[in-house]
Amino acid sequence: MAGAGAGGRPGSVRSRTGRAVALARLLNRDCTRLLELYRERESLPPELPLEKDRIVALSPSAPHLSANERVWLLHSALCQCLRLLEHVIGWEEKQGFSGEGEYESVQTTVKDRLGHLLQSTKTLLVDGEGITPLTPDPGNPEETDGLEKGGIFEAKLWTYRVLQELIHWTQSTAQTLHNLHSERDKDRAKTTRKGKREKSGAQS
Amino acid sequence: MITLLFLVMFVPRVLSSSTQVAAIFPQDPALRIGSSLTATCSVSAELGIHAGTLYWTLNGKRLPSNTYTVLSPTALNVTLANLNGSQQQSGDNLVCHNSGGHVLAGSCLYIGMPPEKPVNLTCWSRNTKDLSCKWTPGGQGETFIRTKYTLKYKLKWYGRERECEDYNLGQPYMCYIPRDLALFTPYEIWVEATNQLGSATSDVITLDVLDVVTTDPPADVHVSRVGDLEDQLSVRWGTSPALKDFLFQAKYQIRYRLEDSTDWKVVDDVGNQTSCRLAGLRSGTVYFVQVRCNPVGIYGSRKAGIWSDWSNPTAASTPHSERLQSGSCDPKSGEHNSTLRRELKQFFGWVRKHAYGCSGMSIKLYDQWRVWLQKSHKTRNQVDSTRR
Repeated sequence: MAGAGAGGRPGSVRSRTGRAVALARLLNRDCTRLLELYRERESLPPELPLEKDRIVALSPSAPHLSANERVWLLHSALCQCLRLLEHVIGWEEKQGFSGEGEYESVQTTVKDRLGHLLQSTKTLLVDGEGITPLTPDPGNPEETDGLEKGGIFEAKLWTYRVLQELIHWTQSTAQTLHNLHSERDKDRAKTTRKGKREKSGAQS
Repeated sequence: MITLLFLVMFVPRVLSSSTQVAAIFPQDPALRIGSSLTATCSVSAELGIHAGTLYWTLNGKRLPSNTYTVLSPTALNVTLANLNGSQQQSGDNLVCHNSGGHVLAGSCLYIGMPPEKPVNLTCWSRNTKDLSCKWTPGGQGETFIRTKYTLKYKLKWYGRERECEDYNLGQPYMCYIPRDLALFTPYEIWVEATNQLGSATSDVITLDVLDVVTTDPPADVHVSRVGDLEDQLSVRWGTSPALKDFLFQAKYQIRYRLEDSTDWKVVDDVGNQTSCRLAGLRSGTVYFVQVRCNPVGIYGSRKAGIWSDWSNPTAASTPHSERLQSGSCDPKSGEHNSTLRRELKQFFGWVRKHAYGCSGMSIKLYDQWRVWLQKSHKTRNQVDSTRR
């Protein structure tokens, strides 16, 4: 596992956070590769810009949010990303564009790992079982508009944006969880130092 | 948590606004290879962009400006001559850009040929229960754009037309009808090929399911020695249980080969017997044997049946000749002995590893080991050739 290290006792929140960070980083690399493969497969113009407007616009880094609220927002965003990806996969199959190449293989990996990451972020939440991720209004068809409303080229651009969205949110998850991991480490160190001081004060 | 809802917003899911203020006509057209196309990129006057500053790309490559015509301050044409087949199944990307390279609008071009009529349509039924059909695309095959094939069938005299639904068989140009098939009445079967440029229908074949029956390979193939006869092996097998309720005359074929050879020798005069003796074999040699079945004349059908797949290979060895066993005065007996010793050592090693818990040692176990040895050699050879 790269980077953060999955320290902590097995099964502890700290170790689960570490694992989730590693998974998010791995998935981020998969998503980046998927976008490259998509660009190659579809011979898309190199001028396609990186979109700054998010399809899923949430702010897990707002300063007044608690750790649990931040994880909940990330979980909701990833949930939305998975739905978007599933729509894209379904649309490509319906159109007969899917084959058996590297793109499809990486796409399956991303979908599976995204499912695992959702599970991992869920276990980090206080009351993880009772959590309802934030989703858009189910009656609102806007979510798939990018695929169904315009022509095929617009649907390709939409797919491109969905893949960018995946890159953004996996990166954001890795970063935010890494920060939480570090904050918890600091808190833990503080508590240990305080405990030691109290103990030595009581002894003297 | 409720307060968070105010922070959260799912942005309206539309493409960037620039794509809505420009459009390409025609959108996603289908064209024949070699034809020409003139497309127009129209930009909204609100953008304040002059059409003369726009440019076109096809699959990411900039098209030369001598193919452009400015129709008006807001419309730019491009003409593409002698089009090649589409590079990708999802269509070639014809894109209109502003001078800064920003994508304004796009259209996907489907360039190919209409399908030609599918050929070589053949069908077979496994144990009369189902029907599988395969065919070959007509002409030169793929036409650069997706062609959809539909297998259709109907009872010849009175049935309504039906469509085969299961095309996911791991290979293209094949469909499977799992059930609800009538016997004793001929079917008419054909394939329709359709793409955005047209459609074509194969010749109609007429068949009775009973005329195209194949069955499972014979089960329980046993190969054993015939006493001490060093040049013979006896082969026995069971009939296919799937056809036990049918009146038919099975025909069988046997083929066998030496362990280290790929040449099969076929015995095709076995008739409907379920046992046979192979003669004229080499002594002290391992043979692989397979059997297959042809269910002929089910319920009196006069068509030649279809051969089943071959059964899994069964191995057996012929006895060593007396001369070899006694060692005699063969000048190379020392060599034989050392080979035999090495082989026995290898064999006992294998028995310890793989046949743990088996009771008793038998020649069958030795044959099993030879099969295993050959398989592992084959795998190693494959790995080696892949590495090379």
